[in-house]
Amino acid sequence: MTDRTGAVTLDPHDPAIVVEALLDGERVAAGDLRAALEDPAAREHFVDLLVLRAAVGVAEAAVPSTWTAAPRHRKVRWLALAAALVISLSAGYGAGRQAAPVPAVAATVEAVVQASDTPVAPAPTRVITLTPGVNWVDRQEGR
Amino acid sequence: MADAEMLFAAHRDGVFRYLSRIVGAGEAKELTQEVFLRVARGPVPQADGAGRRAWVFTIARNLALNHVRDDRRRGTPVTLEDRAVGATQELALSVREALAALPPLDRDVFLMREAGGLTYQEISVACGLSADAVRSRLHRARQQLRVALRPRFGDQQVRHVRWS
Repeated sequence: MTDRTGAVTLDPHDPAIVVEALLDGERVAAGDLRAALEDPAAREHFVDLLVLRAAVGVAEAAVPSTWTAAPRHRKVRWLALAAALVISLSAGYGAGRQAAPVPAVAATVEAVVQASDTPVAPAPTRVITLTPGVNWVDRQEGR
Repeated sequence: MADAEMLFAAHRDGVFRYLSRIVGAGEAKELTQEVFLRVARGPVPQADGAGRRAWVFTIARNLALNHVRDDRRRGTPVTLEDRAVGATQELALSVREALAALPPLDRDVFLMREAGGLTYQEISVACGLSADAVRSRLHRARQQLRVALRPRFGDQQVRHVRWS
């Protein structure tokens, strides 16, 4: 049997074709696969296919990490960018004019002390008694 | 436009990998963008994910064919370099030469499968072939590549494989 270009088409149940289909993730009949794996030539072919795939992978070009617009479309991109910028600036200006001023809210800081969390002061190790006129002098300068 | 953006995000890398094997990495980036410009112009077909991927790769294939044909007409200059290359680069060069030696349709089927990750059904739509014809051409391409690259395999430059 031949395809539209005249090339001969092979038997899809051929063991070599079956192992290729398996390698390519195609569905294969279990019976065909069993027969193919029992065929030494088909097993050899399977290993050769894996080696070929690895070799072809060696020659693979790295996919570009960035894709930029083709030069002939750069002008269109700049125009679109400029238009988007103008539109966004206009929209922002209009929105700013329409928005009512927001009253400033005085910041408050509230400290909540849990009684149970209050650390207990350690017991004094030395007691100093200050007696006015004895070891306590009250000065006007605040010193 | 949303459909086109989704298709770009989903298939950009696969299209690039496919095209880079045909026209080289340098040309593939611009050609990939051209593919998705055409996708954006649409209309995106009313089909499932597989149908849309096949449509994207049909566009990619046609652009690649046109590019190669135009290159032949122009006579693209080739730079010759005389320098030592590593084993990996030698293998890569051998792979590229072996791919270039494949019949164009066999090469397209092979690259859509290996580089683009398309299923047999998607390849059949993109290339206008039956699923059996896709299997046969894929098998033929692999046989030819095995023969061409066997000396490289014999050098054991590929020691580890992974099936995923």
